[in-house]
Amino acid sequence: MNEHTAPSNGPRDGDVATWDNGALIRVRDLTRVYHQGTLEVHALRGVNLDVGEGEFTALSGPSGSGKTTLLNIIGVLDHPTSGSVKVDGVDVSTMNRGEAADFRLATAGFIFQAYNLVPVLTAYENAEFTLMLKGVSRSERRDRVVPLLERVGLAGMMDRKPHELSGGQQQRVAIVRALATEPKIILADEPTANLDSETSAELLDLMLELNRDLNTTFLFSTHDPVVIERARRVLKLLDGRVADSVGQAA
Amino acid sequence: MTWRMAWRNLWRHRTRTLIMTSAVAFSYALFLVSMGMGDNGHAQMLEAAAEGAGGDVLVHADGYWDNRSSDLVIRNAQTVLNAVESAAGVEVAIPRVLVNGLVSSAAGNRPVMLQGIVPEREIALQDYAEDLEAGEFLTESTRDDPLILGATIVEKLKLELGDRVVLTASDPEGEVTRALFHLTGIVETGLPETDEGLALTTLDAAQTAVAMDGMLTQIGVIVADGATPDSVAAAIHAAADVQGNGLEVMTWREAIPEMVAFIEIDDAFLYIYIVVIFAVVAFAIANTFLMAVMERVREFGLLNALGLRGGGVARLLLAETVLMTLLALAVGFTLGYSGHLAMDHWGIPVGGWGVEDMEISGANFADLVMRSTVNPGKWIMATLAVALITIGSALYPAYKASSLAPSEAMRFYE
Amino acid sequence: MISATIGFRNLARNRWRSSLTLGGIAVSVAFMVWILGFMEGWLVEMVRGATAVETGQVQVHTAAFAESPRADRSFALEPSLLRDLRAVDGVESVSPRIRLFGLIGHEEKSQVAQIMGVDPVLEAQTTPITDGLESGRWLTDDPPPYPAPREVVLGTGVARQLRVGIGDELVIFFEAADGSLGNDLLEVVGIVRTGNTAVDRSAVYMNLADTQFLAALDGEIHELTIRTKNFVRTEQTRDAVAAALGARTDIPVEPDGEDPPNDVLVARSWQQIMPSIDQVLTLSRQSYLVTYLLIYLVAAVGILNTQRMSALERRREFGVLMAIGMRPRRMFRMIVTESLVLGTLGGVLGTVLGVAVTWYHSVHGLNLGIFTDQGGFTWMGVAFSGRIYAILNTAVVIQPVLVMVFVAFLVGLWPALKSARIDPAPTIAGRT
Repeated sequence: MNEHTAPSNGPRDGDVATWDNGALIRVRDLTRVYHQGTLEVHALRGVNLDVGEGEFTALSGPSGSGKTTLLNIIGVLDHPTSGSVKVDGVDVSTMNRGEAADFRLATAGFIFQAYNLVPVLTAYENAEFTLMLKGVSRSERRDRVVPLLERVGLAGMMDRKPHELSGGQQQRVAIVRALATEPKIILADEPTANLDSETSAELLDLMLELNRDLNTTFLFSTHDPVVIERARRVLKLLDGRVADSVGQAA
Repeated sequence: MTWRMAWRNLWRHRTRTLIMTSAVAFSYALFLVSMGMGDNGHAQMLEAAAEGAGGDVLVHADGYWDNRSSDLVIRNAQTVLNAVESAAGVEVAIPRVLVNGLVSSAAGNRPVMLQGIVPEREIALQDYAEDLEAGEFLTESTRDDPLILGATIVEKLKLELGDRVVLTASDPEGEVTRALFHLTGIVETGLPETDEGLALTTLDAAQTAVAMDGMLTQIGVIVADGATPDSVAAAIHAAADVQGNGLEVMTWREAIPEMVAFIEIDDAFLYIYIVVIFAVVAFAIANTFLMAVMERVREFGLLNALGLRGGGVARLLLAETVLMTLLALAVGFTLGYSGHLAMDHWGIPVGGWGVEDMEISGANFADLVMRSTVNPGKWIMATLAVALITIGSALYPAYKASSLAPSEAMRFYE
Repeated sequence: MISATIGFRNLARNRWRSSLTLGGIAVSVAFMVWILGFMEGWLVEMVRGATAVETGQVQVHTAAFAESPRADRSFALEPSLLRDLRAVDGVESVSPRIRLFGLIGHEEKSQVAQIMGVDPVLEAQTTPITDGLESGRWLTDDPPPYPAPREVVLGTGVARQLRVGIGDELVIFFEAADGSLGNDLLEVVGIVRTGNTAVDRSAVYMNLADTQFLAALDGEIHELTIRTKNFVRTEQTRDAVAAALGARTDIPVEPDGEDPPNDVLVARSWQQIMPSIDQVLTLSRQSYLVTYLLIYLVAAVGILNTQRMSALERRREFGVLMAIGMRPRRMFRMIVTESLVLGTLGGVLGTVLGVAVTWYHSVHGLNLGIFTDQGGFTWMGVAFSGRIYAILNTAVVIQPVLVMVFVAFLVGLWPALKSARIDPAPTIAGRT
């Protein structure tokens, strides 16, 4: 693979044209090794990647290809074994737990495949949770969250608890929660894994719309063809490496 | 098959199994230790009570115990003493002369109750020689008018060993007599009632002092193992030389009803206390198991959906519960028994908290050391009760698990 | 605030678990309220019984008498003395007394007795002696003149041992202050049962003037017994009394072991006069700790268990919260808050329950007869029988719930710490 033989700086992989004009996410030589007993699992074997501002990028690949690990490291939920990750110009690979939490609150919103919401809070309370963590006042939270919830079609369901919402509706709440703090990036790990294809399509269309209107960068993992066909750019991971890059960087 | 699966499930959910068993084991152990301490306190009180009364059974001239009057004495002492000693179930009969009087020195006088004792017999009940601070004990003294006094009396009367002490008291005929003693020993226990009130001499010297040759005030009886104070009192009462001789025979319970009252009230509070501890333990244990089983119910919703029938799920749940209960009881018993052993070995002295005087119904409990006693019957009952609660609290969710539809089961307990 | 909201809603969500945990906490707290209420009841009754009749709350003696009582260790009862003392802040009433040991006899029997020469009116004002009258009447202020026999009121034990009743005549002997032997003829006018075993077994009350005459102590007394207005402020009142009399507040220690002087007055509180009562009071209150320990330890296991279980079940939720930017410290606070909510709610519930039961027992009392058919018992020289009344004071009501909230806080630390250390990535993936 060419990334091992290429010079140590500069773009080496697929379409990295945005790197020079200030990529939002810049990943270099990233490896991650897990130890399970005596077994070493190489989840990432040297990934190089650049994502520019406003991109709508899908990470595809079979399970075990390293999609989740890559997202987790970019979101500082995990630390790399070697290599560097810069997000918005900041090196995130050496942050401690508290800094990581603040970083996520300020810069990156997360959406997971399921169990995204606090079960005892209503849709509205879940959506405003991150703003509350930031210490935003009650009225300002309302001003920011209500329009977003209306926008994603949950106007009449703000007082419902998660178990009173469908899977797709729950994911929309999670998206609103991620967007509410106006982060630069939204990281989503298989956001449609638990949804049927129709709902998945709707959710993706919504995400695309928000990407276009708010210029928020989306990076998400998936192996769902419905999602992949809607992504502007698809990076294919295989065995912990970027195997293929399709589409266009913004 | 069910059992093997249950056992493996416990191991698979190690954290949860640990939480459950440790909670049950700890509550159960605390329960055992509380019971052990309570029962021990009770037993010690009974012992202190009998000691304070002067014996398990007491013999006096009729009416003495109520009036403490110097004219009420056992006149044909030797005959009565022999009769008491030979009654069934008597371990030791302890003869005493008790005299209410004033001891005087040049510095003043103090009221005392002088006890004329036979040290070799008295030792079966209590050993005064242990607390001897200065001088020599009655058994070592060569004088025929020895007197041992509590340290406070000695101090207040400004006495020294060898000093003369005058006792003023009434003899059985009502005459006020004065008798001379020599201070041969000083007892100091730190207990005010002893240090301020103890006056001991030999039986002979006391008899001589108040003209009671061949007479006694009291015979204290210690009952042999296997006999009860009631049976021994009845046996003494029936003896030929006691019956119709103008004597009263009473057990310590009859002699000091206030102490019996205290012990019974204390027992009642201990009982309430144990019931409350048990209630709290029951809440904790029932909760723990309910939680464990409820969580399993949700998982089993899945199994059920996969085709495991309801009855099978319930059986598996109960098997897990039984195994966990046995594990918890084993650990809890080990903990509780260790606690009991530690408590019994080291003990907590009541006097250690700076208390010198703890009078209850005439007895002093300040030298009490809190230890622990196993009452096997109670411990078995407690164990069964804990087992019942744990298994009982699994029955309801197990029943639910077997009857719920899978989709409901996954939402159950919310 | 959202922490408390989440805490409350989680409690509501796990109804079974919460009610069982709250039940355990509530029973523990209720029991502590009840047992503290009763212990206070016993203690107050014990202190009252030990002090009320015999010592009052403050007493004044000469230093020599306080160290070692003797007939000649008296001081002059100046007419102004009582008036001055009554003007002292905190003093309710004052009773001057002669106090000696003597022999009291009837026919062939005699007994050592504690002779108390008292002013009938002042003694009745200062102590509840007249409440204890079992038969007959209290001493009169103006007894019949000689040669009529002098009036005497006996403790019930003294009367029983001498086998005398109202109207019987007695003879009394004691050594007077000048070394002579005083004796007189007495007539029993009353018998008292005060519940204070020392008084009931050996006290003999006579008119102050009679005893002063017999003991050759005209115009002199051995002690002043003072009832204070406020039981809790005994020490301040003692100090004020001492200041008014120019008295010390402790017995001076003589270097050569001699008795302290007789011309120095000493004012002492009941705690100084009966240190053993004070010790038992302290011990009993310390012993609450043991009761707290045993009961609350079991309750704590319940809370700990609930919280650990809850944290275990919700670890994925916690993982997500951390992934969206909640700091570990905040997570920690949130879980501790949940424990506090649990402890407070259960504690308040238990307090309501405990106060209700204790209030009933403070009004109607608890009949000790249901536990024993032996009558009563004595504790520290005070007889307890019939009904015992619980006491509800601020400490009894507040302390158990506060201690429980503290216990809940302590117990919440561990599960909170464990949850704050969650590694979000594997937790969300379900790999823990």
